[in-house]
Amino acid sequence: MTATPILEARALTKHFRAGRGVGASGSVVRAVSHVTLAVAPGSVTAIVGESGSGKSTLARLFAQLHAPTSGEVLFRGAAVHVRSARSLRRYAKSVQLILQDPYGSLNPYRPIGHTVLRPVRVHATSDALKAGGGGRAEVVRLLERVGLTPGGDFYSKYPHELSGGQRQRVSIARALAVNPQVLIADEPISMLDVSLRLGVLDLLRDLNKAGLTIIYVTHDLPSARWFAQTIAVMYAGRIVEEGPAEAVVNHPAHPYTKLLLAATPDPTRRRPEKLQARGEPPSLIHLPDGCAFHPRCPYADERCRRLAPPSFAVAHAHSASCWLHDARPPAQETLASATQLDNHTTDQEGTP
Amino acid sequence: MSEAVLDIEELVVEFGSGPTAVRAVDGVSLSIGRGEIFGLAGESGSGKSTLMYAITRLLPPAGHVVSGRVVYRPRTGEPVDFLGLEGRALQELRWASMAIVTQAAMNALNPVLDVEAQLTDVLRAHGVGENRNARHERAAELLSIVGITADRLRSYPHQLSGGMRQRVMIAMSLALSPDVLILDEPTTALDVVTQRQILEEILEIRERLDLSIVFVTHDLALLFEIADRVAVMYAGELIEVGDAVGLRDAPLHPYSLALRASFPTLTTAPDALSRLPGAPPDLRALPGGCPFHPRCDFRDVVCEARRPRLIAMGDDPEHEVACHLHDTSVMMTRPASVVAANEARR
Repeated sequence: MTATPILEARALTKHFRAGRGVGASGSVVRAVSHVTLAVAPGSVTAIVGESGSGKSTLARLFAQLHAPTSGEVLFRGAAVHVRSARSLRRYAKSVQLILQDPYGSLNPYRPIGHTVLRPVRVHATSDALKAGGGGRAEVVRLLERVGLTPGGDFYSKYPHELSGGQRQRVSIARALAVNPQVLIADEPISMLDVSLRLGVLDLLRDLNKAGLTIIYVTHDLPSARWFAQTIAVMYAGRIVEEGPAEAVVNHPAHPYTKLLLAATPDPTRRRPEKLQARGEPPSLIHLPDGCAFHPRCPYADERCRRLAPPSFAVAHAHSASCWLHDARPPAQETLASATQLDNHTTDQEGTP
Repeated sequence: MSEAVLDIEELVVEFGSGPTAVRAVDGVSLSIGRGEIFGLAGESGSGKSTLMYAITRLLPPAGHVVSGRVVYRPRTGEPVDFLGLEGRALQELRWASMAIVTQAAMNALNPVLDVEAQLTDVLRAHGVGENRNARHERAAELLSIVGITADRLRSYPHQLSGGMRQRVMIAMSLALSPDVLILDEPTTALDVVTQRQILEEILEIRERLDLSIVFVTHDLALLFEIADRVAVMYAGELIEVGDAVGLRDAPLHPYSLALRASFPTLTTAPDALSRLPGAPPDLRALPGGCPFHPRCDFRDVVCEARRPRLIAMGDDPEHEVACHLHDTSVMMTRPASVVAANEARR
């Protein structure tokens, strides 16, 4: 990545004070810890993780809907400081967020024209309003841009008259109304019927080809591989592996990424091998010491239990936060497995 | 397929009545073999869940069976039409013959009772175990089948993760050793690693307890991995039924073909996907003829006029499809590849 990242997280951390639940009062939920990630302009970057991995919190930090506990977000190389509604509005002109639930994110009492017209008016560029009908022409253009044609017909429809895919298109149109430079899509297809998912991904892909930078937040590795150039895998609030999409899927370096891949349904195999690692992700209130994955990791040794691993480069633009990739001599017992892993990761270079 | 444990015959289910009635299941016939894993795939509104609720006699009010039979064939004794049972007879047979676990099942646990109380409640209601100790033992055994240690009997639902709660529900469904276990999207709300662990346990349960599993999901990739046979449902009808490997490698119905090409897998080539046009149909306003025709690339006039029936394909009596393309008695324009395949099959 030579160009200045369009969006960047530096040591970004978000802790929440836990609510009044049983045994939770006064405790701290460490949702995102020391995340550093650079998003290249014009790229699609996928953030992949299970529920509770911190991926949605990271998306909201990027969108400035949460203030970070520490660390910072940079937009085009400059630190973002959102302190007022006005500065948030200015930032939102560049960075937009769409959410998972196309049922919950549209006002059921308003025709979708109204929903899309709001941001056109709030962020009005004089062109959009001059174009006619107090912004109506612009809304029709946006609806047609996301495949809701003819836009004039959809303008006066209500959310309940649309399919899930069409509703998600409305929320994309609403985000596009401000002509943003970055679109963060948090699980945009996971609530849609299978036959509608590809349509929405295709639309996002078209928008990306037209220059929009996209951060695709998902739990689904296959669609991340298909759609994104870069994949960042999150576990327990940290990025544990990052690299070119093909490299992460075909030559995973972190044991957790391997576990995710092994668990992903693959129609080409029958009755797959048993999973090597079992168990469930840790509570973000009681994170284990050392590497958060160590209680489930088949390769864990003493060092993993004590020290959180830094990020190690495993190939060009490909890194993993795992002691197995420490180039210094590893502890005796992990030597064999570490060598095995290295063999997996040395035979590829660069972005496919 | 092995000997049938369950025969569903021409089942029709409607919601409401009169001219506004919505037909959610439209003439479904299906046999579940003893010991097999049968996968039922379909999108929302395809009628897959309604079909499962109908055969377990759990349809919500307004839903009712219009016609058809659900014949349960126990290991010993006479076949029973499940739909004809009432009162005590139904109570005795349900759960002991067929048990069901739904997607939201894990939210059905009582938050103020511990796991043991809820498991032993089922046992006591059905007269399993002569005393408290025996029921405790059985509850612990049921948990161990789904990979949970006995110390969790003392846990309350909020102390368990979603995956654990869903396992408790599966354990509960096994309480009376049913012949058929129906799992309706049991892992859809769970993370992929948890899903895989539960699938492994389900495969083990099938081996150990020799029961049949009906696995309902929208996730075709998952069914191709674990099911013996797969059926695809669309707009209340079965549109294709066959061996999982056969259906994966050579699907016949254009909808099955399109579904397979509509989601990326870990090995999909960048341009190998093609999206299905349109959206799943509204059951209140189904198109005439074949319900899939508005979205079908191969449609002809006949598809708009006549509804195709589910018929067996040539040499493989177990591979059935409801599509005029493959019914050589129907006159229509077909792509050359389909004509050649039909010729070869005859």
